[in-house]
Amino acid sequence: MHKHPEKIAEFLLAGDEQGTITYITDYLEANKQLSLYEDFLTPAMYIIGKRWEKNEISVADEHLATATCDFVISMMENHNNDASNPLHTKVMLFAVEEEEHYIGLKMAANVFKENGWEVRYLGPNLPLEHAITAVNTWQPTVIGLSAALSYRLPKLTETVQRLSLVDNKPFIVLGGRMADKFPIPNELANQVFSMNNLHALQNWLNVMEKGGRFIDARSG
Amino acid sequence: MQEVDSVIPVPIFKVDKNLEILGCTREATEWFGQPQTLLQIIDEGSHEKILQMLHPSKVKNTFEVNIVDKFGELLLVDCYAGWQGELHAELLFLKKDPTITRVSTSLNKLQSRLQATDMELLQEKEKAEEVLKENNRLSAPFIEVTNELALIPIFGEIDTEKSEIISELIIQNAYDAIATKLIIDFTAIGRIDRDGLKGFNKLFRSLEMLGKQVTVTGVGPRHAKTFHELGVPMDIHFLPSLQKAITKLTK
Ligand code: B12
Repeated sequence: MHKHPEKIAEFLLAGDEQGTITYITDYLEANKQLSLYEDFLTPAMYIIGKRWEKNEISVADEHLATATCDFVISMMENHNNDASNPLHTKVMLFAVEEEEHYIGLKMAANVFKENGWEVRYLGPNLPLEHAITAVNTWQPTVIGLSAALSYRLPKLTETVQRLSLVDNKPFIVLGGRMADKFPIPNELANQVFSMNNLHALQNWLNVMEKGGRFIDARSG
Repeated sequence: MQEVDSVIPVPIFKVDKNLEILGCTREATEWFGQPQTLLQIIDEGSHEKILQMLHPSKVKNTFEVNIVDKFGELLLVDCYAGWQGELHAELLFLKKDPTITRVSTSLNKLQSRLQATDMELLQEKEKAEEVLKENNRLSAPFIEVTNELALIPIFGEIDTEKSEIISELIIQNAYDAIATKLIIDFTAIGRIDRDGLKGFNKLFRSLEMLGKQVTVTGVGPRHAKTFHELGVPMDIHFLPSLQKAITKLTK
């Protein structure tokens, strides 16, 4: 059956998480996580953004829709997942300081989980010093960052610069509206990657793994 | 720019149909400095919206918009706008009702608290697993008594899982050590099930393959029977007490 993101946007705006889940239940059951995110939930959130621009809804409605969307994503998080992780790859995800948009970030965390990765999702608005401490102690293979606000570009730049220098040289993947706007410096082209959707993330994971770019996290 | 006269202490702007600012109230200057056009103080994500909403055809309109104040702070406000004919519009900005701001701040706080709790639980779980691992490690210390002889006392209750973990550890240690004679002492084992014993039987075989000579001590009569049933490898020696084994092997 064909499902429409417009309809999902309505469920989300009504705060109707049960309705949302029932509507997309085939996708939940078939475990088509990527499709659920890319074809339905993300477009639904963008539709909500457009409806705000058309003055049909308020930011308060966006809050409710976000909470509902978050609920559905959290359900996916615990969905059966038995991917193995022979390389013990680890990812840490967060959004930069004063960036509150976290829906895309959380989806990305689930994509890593589905691929068997060990995941530390630190959520939005994480002060850079905390992030650096966490990265140094946990030594992730990959760091996932997200930024939606144009005003966060300077902070994002600083964050990438600082994190690219930590000892274990983690890969850094950037997402969110600002990913495309972020100029990756030449010298970081092998370490920093930006992607504006989750299919791109899945492809990146496949290519990097095939290319043997993820070495066993335990052997350093 | 002319000062717009109003007794109500709020930022009010007067603009033409190109959104050039013709005048404003003192409060507007206090908030925004001296912008030339309205778009200068509107967040880029709201440009499209304000162009649509602030249209003469709309006559009177109310909508939310994101503004940037003179400090560069981004702020969501309510905008009330009206046209005087086709040429001039007046609009005023009102900060959002503080209750909404409060609710949204609390929502964010709740969200990050949940986040922190999640993370703490995860860390606790990891700590517990670490403790368990350490505990397992301590359940089979590898003590090199002489260059030739090593003693491995086994402690605690042994089930399948633990016997696997211990076995892996013992094999690794035995492989690294030069000692060829090993005493595995069962005296301090609290309880061990049949599968646990089976695991040990496998361990004995692996150690033999590494060229180690294994002596097992402290096995009670019941476990001896089980071992017997499982068919212990020929070259494994059983001695009742650790003391006897050490005397014999260091002779
Ligand atoms: C929902 C929403 C909110 C919610 C946020 C809820 C939350 N906690 O996430 C609330 C109401 C709280 C909010 C607040 C604000 N918002 Co807002 N918000 C939106 C909205 C409508 C949708 C965002 C969303 O959830 N998208 C869905 C996700 C899934 O999409 P995505 O982030 O692009 O993610 C995809 C990819 O980028 C990628 N991805 C994302 N992250 C990552 C990470 C990795 C590692 C990878 C690999 C991939 C990846 O995968 C996703 C799927 O493809 C957008 C409109 C829009 N067009 O984006 C405005 C928008 C982003 N917000 C905006 C603004 C201005 C604000 C506020 C400043 C003011 C306000 N409206 O109250 C505050 C700022 C808060 C802060 N300090 O951060 C502006 C930004 C303008 C600008 N100049 O940048 C926008 C564009 C709306 C607009 N037109 O004005 N917002």
